[in-house]
Amino acid sequence: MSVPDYMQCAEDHQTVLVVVQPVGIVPEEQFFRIYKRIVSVGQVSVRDSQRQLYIRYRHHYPPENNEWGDFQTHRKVVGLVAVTTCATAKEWPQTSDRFHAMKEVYGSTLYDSRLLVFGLEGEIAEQQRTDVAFYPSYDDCPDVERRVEDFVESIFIVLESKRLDRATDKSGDKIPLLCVPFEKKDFVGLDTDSSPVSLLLGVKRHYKKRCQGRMRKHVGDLCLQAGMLQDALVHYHMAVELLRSVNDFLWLGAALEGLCSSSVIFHYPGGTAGKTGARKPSVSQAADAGKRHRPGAQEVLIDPGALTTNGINADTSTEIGRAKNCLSPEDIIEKYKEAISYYGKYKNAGVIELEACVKAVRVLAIQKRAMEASEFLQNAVYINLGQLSEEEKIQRYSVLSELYEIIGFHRKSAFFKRVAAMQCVAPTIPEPGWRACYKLLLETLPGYSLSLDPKDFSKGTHRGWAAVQMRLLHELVYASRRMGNPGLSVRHLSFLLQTMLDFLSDQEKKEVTQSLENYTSKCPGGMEVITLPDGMKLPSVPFTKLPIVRSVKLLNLPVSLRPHKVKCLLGQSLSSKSPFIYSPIAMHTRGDERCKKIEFQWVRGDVCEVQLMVYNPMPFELRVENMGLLTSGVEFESLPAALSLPAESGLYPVTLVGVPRTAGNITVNGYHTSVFGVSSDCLLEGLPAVKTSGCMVEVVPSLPRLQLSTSLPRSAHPTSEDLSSSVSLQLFNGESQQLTITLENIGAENLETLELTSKTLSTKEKLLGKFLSWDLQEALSHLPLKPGQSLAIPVCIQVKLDFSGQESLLQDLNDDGISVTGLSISSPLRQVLKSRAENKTAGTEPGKSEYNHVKSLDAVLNFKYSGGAGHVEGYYRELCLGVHVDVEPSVFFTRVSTLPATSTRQCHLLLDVFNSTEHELTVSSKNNQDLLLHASECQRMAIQVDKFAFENVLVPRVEDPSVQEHFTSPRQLEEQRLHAQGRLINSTLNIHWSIPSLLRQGEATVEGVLNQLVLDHLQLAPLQWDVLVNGKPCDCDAVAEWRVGEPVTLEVRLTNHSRTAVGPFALSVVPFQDYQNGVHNYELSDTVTFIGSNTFHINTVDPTESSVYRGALLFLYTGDFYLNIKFQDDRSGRELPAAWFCLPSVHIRALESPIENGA
Amino acid sequence: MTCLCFLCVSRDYDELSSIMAVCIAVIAKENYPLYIRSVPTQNELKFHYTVHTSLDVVEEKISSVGKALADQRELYLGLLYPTEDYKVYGYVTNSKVKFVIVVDSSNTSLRDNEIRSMFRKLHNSFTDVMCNPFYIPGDPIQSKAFDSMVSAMMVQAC
Amino acid sequence: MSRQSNRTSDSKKMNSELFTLTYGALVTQLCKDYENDEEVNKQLDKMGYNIGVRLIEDFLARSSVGRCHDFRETADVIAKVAFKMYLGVTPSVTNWSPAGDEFSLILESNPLVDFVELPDNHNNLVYSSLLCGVLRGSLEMVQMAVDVRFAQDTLRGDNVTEIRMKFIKRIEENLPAGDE
Repeated sequence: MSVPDYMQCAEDHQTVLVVVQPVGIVPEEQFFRIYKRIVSVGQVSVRDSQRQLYIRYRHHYPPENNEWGDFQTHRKVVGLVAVTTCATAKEWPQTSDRFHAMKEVYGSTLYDSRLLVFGLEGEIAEQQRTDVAFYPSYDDCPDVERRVEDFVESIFIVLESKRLDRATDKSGDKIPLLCVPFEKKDFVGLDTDSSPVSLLLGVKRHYKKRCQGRMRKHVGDLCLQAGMLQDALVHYHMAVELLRSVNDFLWLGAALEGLCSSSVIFHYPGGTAGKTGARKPSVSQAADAGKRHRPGAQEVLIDPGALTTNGINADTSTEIGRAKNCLSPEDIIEKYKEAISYYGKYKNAGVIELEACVKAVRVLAIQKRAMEASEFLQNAVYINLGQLSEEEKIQRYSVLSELYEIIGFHRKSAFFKRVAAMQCVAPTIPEPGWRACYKLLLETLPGYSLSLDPKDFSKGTHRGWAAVQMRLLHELVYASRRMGNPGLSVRHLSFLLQTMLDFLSDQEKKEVTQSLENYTSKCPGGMEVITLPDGMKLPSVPFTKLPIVRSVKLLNLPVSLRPHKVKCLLGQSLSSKSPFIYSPIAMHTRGDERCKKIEFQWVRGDVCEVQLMVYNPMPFELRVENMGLLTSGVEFESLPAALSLPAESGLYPVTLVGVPRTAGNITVNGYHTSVFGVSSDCLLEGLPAVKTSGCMVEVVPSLPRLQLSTSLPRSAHPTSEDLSSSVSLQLFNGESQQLTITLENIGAENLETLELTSKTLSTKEKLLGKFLSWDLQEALSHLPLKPGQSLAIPVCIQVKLDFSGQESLLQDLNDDGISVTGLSISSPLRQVLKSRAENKTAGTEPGKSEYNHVKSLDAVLNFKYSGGAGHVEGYYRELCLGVHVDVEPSVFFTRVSTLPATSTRQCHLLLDVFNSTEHELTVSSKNNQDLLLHASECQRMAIQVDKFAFENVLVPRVEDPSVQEHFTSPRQLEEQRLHAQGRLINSTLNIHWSIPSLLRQGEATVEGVLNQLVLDHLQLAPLQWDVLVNGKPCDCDAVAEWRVGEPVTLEVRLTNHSRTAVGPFALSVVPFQDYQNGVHNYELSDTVTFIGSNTFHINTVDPTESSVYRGALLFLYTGDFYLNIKFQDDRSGRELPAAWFCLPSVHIRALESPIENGA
Repeated sequence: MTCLCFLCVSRDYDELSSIMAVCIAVIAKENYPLYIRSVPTQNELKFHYTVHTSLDVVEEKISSVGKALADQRELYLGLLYPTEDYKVYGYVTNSKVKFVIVVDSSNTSLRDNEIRSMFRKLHNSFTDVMCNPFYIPGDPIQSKAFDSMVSAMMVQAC
Repeated sequence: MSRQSNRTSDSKKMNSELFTLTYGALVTQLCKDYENDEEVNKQLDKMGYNIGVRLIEDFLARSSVGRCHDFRETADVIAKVAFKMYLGVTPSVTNWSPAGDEFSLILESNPLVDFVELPDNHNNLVYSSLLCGVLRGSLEMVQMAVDVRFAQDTLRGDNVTEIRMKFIKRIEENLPAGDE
């Protein structure tokens, strides 16, 4: 016997073997349909007794196995059911012959046989035969089962008769020696009676015992098959005794095994095969165990006589009990072990031993004794069955695998399954079964704790037996390739690369990727789930590690393209769904970070960017093609990128771009790559290691897009992030420059609104005048601006920084003793007006550098624009142009002072002008001739100016309510006032400079240079004093001539321009003579006399009123006289500024009287 | 094996110990290898399979031993299973880290005590590895000290 | 001196593994945080210094050693008393420079490095550089500026661990010692 039945289990010992075979040509499908119906009759209750007969059907049974039928009767083919197709009566004889020939094969053992004929109708079919059944067709055979049952019953009758026949053999009868095939030759001629060799009594007795023992064992088998378990046990026990005494090991083993089988059947009525349907659980078997065996027991009770007469053991009856004869679960295993050890003594009994092992393992599996089971299996592995065919090997390994599985040794099971798989494609096999191999390999996956879903590996580090898993994956790849399914190979190889990356050596990485590329060249890998024929699904393997993505960051649009929401008056932009102003609940929504909405917005139609930080773990350059974004929510046109990452790169930034095509909320779910010909969709939710600050962003409706260009060159300075662009220029202080800004609509929407504002960035420099000015009217007339069109806006840049120089640096210019303090208007004018030709170069070098210090001014021009759908939604864009001006100093006013002019309405403004440039420079001012200054030269410049009526300037401004609101503090008011005054003065002065060599020119302003004192001097006093000599106004240099001796009328008129009434005042006129040598002679009482008092009284003068005082004086001698009009009484004067009482001095030249009348 | 013999010519041939491990493995609680080393002359993958399948027995033994002697557990699991060429022995720490030693079956003069002492050495050495502040528990063992100790066991008195 | 009695000879027992592991955890955490061996060395040295400036008080109170007369005596006290007291080992003092201002402490075993194996990516790490800091810090408190460095280290495959100490100068009493 060479073909083991690995499916056998202990309870098979109680079955009778029936072979079902086709005769002639029977379609396989039809045959198995009938076979299934036959097999369904697996258990038959025998009529008239409560016994059950179990049938084991086989459609193939090697005849040489049948030869072992005496050894274990369940191996004996006792029934034959032949299935045949017979269409015509003509074929019938042939069919019948064949049936008989088939019977011959198992002839020696058959109890009975049946032939099922399909398709034959008519005469022959009419005849009633017990051994043949006719059916018109395979579809029309309703009583097949009943036929089989009848057949089984007939077998039972034979079985029962055989059992009774054997069991009741008289002791006198010669008991034949039962043999297994390989023993036959050993026992040839060993006949006890006839052989002369058997003279020795011992031998004879020995032989007899052997015969008895074997027969007893055989009876046990029959009892078991006939459903008499207890009897079987008794017989087995007796057989064991007998056989043990004669050391008939093979049969002793069989007897022991019989004992075990019976006990197993008793203990485990559910069966040990572990398969449902293998054995129908008979009607309440366990409960009826006793009842069920009772009939058999009764028969044994009848038997004792026979037994005793057999002379084997008179006491067997005492052993007839119930469970007493039955082995305990532990004993079963012990006896199995013993049996197997006996079998092991015979090389030819390998199959028996192997089967016994398998049976024992199944029992142990039920007993949950995995360790012992594994020992049995271990033993089974080593049983040498001689040359096995490859198919048998596969079967053997598969069964071992299955058995290991049922005892819970999953790894071992996987190991053998894998061996079986390898066996399928062994080189010795002419047609390797790659499909079978692949299928078996797949079945080993759980044993190696390997799932083919990459998601199971994404959690943390890989924890598995990588070496064996990798091997298995390689085998799967190879098997699937040989199967001719490259798609499958690609999937497995991708999986290998993705999940085992950490365990691959550099060389292996190269090899794996190379073969992957080879495969994908034929069959590119994708994201679809591959479903295998057996229903197993292979999920897609996205390459999340090629490259490894560390972070995903959605980028805001460039500043100039960011949309801004127009703030609604009602605050609707604050999207608060809650009716509460503040809710603590909202604060604690710890939603998924990934779902968090990002603050900024994207704009439909504009290119949006997402930055990934990626890392290439491979030891070679990684080419990633077609890398793009996976999004949801909004129609999004991803613009894929191809990149090449250097070997084992560090973190590498990659920017993926795309254009949203609709508005709404967009979520970036992941990214798409194509590496080594495998395209992957890597979803972020499956990559917990990826850092992201949120992936949802709002896409607002489309907005126009402006491109800005300027007439001036772009700034070389690194522009700040907020600026779209910037221009930079160099100007001298006071210079201005025209800048033309061209805006082109490069978007797809009409430009509908445009606003321009400017902001001067905080600067330490004090800026005088308006830095940037423009006129937008012209530009706005072009709106709406269609895409592709452009408009220009002229902007004037004017820089006027402080022109004042530091006083301390130029003290050497301050040597002329000019004092502008107080009311020292008495200084002789000549002295002041004498030309100052002295040219002074600026002092020290540090001082010079101080003046050469370049200052800078920065401002931002801010264009707010909108249009299209975005405008409707209230969005706009901002474009910022930075303007950077390096201001080089041009001129400085190092010192300012005033001198009274001859007229009280005028005064001289003295400016020390310093040329801080390195060029020759001319300075001009209102009605003054140009002043030429060499580089670093300082000159004084005197400008005669009319005094200013500041009151008139300021009054309306202060009364303006808006201004009052803004400048509430007195200090601010004061500043404002000063500023206005400065401007007024400046516009009057209109000082310009020009550098002829550079063709540059500009203004210079004295704003900021002027101090309060100077301002006071420049201010036109609100009290206007007019002195008239003889009715002629007398002012400044005008010399009134008059004759000696004639009274001169002197008229002093006060006009009050101030807002309050002034006065009364008392004025005294003091005449004096100036000798031009610094000596003033006031002792003129003899020379000049007053007609009337020399003190004038002016009454209170109301605003806008005027008051006149007239007096007269008489010059007695010729000469130049000056009249100094002083306030006598200071009481009222003190309340008003001294400058208000600035009366012109009067110069009268008394001449000889033309009428020489008496001296 | 023959080629290994000359490596230890200097060793004392009369030494009682005659065990030579052909493969030594340390397996994490979660049943993946922390360390596996086999004699270089042999197919390494074969030992991976041997050790991997031996885990079935280890698990079985742990669970059955656990039932019997919950508190006083013997760390040494004894012979896990014999194969044609090798004998596989197991040892499990209380932290469920497993050690597996594979020895050549031709070593007939095996003594249980020697195997035990090998495991004890292995355990001590492993403890030192765990105490290395630079070793991250769960990572493959790359300690040179451990390596050399294992090497000594594989070469020891062949 | 009453304090001294409190401090003497009550050397509390502490599990050396716990001590070693604690130090190991410290070093590895520093390695993680700084990702630069040189920086870790510096930090360890700084920590050691801060330990040293405190530990010296304890040492003086406990050991009742008096003022050392020369550097040789200092060396002996460090090796035979201090190391013994705090680390339970007694290094040998050797390799004196001719000028007597430089010597080596040879440690047969360094309790800090039990179990430690330096991974390949920490080639520049001076694992025990805390000790240098301790020595430097404590000697500074007794007006001795010294330079301390590791000349040999068993972790780097040397047979012994050698700490090289060089006397730099005496620190004037009133010089304020900065806490780095």
